[in-house]
Amino acid sequence: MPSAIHTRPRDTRSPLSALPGARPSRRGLLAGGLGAAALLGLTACGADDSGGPSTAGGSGAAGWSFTDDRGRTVRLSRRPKRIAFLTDTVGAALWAAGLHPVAATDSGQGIVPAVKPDWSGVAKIYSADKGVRIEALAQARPDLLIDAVQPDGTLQVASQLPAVTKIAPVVGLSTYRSIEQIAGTADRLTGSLGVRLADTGAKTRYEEAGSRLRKAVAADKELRVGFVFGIDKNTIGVMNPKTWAVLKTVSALGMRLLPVPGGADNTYSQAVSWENVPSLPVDLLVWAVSDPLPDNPLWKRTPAVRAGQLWKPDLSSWYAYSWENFTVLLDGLATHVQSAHAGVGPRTTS
Amino acid sequence: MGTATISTTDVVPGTDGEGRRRRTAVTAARLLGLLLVCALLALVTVVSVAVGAKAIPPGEVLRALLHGRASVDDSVVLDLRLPRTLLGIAVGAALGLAGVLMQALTRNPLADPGLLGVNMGASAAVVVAIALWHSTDPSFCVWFAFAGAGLASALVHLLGSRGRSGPPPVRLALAGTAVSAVLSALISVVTLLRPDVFDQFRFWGVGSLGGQPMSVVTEVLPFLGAGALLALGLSGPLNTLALGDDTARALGTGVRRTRLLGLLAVTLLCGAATAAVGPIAFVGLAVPHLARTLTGPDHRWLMPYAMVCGAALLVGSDILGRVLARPGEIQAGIVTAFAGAPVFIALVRRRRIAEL
Repeated sequence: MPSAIHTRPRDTRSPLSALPGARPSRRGLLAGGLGAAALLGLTACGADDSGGPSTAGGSGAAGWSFTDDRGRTVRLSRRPKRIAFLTDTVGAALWAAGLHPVAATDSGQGIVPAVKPDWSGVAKIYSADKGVRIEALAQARPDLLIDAVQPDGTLQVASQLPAVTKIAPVVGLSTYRSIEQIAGTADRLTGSLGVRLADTGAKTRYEEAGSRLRKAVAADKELRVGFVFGIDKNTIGVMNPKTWAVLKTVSALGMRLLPVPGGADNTYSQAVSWENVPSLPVDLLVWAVSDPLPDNPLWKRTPAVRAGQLWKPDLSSWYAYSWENFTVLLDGLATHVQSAHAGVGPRTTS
Repeated sequence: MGTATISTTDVVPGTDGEGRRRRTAVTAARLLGLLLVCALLALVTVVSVAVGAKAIPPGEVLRALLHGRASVDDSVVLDLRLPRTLLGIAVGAALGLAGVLMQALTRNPLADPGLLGVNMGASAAVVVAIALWHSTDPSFCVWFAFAGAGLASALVHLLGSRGRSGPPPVRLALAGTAVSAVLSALISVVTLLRPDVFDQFRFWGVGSLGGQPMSVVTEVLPFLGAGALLALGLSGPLNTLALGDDTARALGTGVRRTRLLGLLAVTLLCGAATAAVGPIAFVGLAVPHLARTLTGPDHRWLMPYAMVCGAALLVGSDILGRVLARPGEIQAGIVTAFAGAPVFIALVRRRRIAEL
């Protein structure tokens, strides 16, 4: 099971951070040629950002269109059938929704395996040294690419490797919104492509778990919760409620989260020295990575840990944005919030 | 071990009486200087225990040291600050001393302990340990790091050695560079192909004094002690070696034996230091130069000075890392490079670097 790496967005070691970027190269030229060939299969396609975000994609006599999380509408003359996932998070969210690709990435961080995909016959287009292999992508002849949208609104892969846009039009799925919005877009896209949703009951179970958590939080509004992880041997990171999908979700359910100073400017987390960890004003700590719990002596001296108000969720991956995966999280949080007591941690950081 | 202890600086012209008086004066000045740098280290040590990312009143710090772990603040002092301060002193001294040895053995002023592949050997071994056993427990990784350092050092010696004088300096440096490059590539390959290994290795990849239990100090101390004793015992032979192999041999120094024992001492010192805190650059390179400006090239003085200066520099860098980024911290390995490099550049520009 992988661990999360929390850094500032520009430093994020995303599955594709090793991409060679927009270097004009033999590979790029080849991709351009293959891309042009792929485009011949489309009688008409394009993207525009003239319309605002809409809630539904559509397909019919007038072709197919979909407005993505950037608010850009992709219009094609017919409904695409050959889909390629350009990042792990996109792949996990869409596979969980029921969409099966012809090409996909798996960078080995455990995000994709968390949704247990059957990828027989699916072209693997990621290599550890090159990132997305554009030749392999072109050979899979996709007619629609799905990329992740970063916090600044740019596409994660297409912004670094613009040649992919010559292969097929790109739809963006943002993974920096609440779980409802991420999984909702995945469902909407899957449905618009004419694919039956994998598990229609999953959303209902998620909503029930959310409802339980909302009630638990409402019963003790003073309870302060901190999502933390280990950065290095000297520091732990407090996750920024304004950045992370999970934290945006629980915050919307009323949970009182440990704030991060300057949190509005896309800071992923605040580093806190182990010397200051016992002073964090939190009553319930969530160890938000799959790394083992820390063995630092100050961890055991932290009031919330001493009181047993600590939870390390057993999530398959923190980045597999599916209804099912996060139902487990919301359910567990509801249980731990119910049993926790407010006022265990210090009032303010000393 | 060779018995000749000729010094390149203590030969003072003049009559015997004058020379003796001058020598006595120089020795007294060096002794005083050593006491002063020791006082500086003592001051840095006190500050390191008293100051950190969390503000704790001096009275509370003293109470913790005298009466144990009654409060969280006591635990901060005893469980975090004390081990990292002791580790900083031991590792800084070891790296300073290893730097002097490396520069003397390779007769290269730019040599540092990393040149023999010792640091990379330790890093590569830790990567392998994480990949195979998924453990980052310091007490576990220490032994892998140490074994890796030893193996890399032995390999470098094997590749670089030929002839009865032991490995010639240039060949030794080239072999070390080549082995380091290969090991660096190995680390890159493993961390690139195994993101889970990268996730864990990142805790170890940058040298840091923090987060280590006191047990790590006691585990590496015997190796550091043995390496230091061995190195200090070589101070005389290294002085003669600085005059060239032939002269050293004529003065009764076992050249091959000196080089072999020197390499062993470097491996013990750097292997244990890297195993304890991870790779820390710059201390081993800059501290010998700093010490040499104070003592001249006589290894009998240079070595103790380098040990004390190395300890003070590393502990001082660790303090800076703790107070500059509150409420977080910056690893000492980063601070040594950032804070030490400008000082080193100024040193190089202002004074002529001593020829080796």
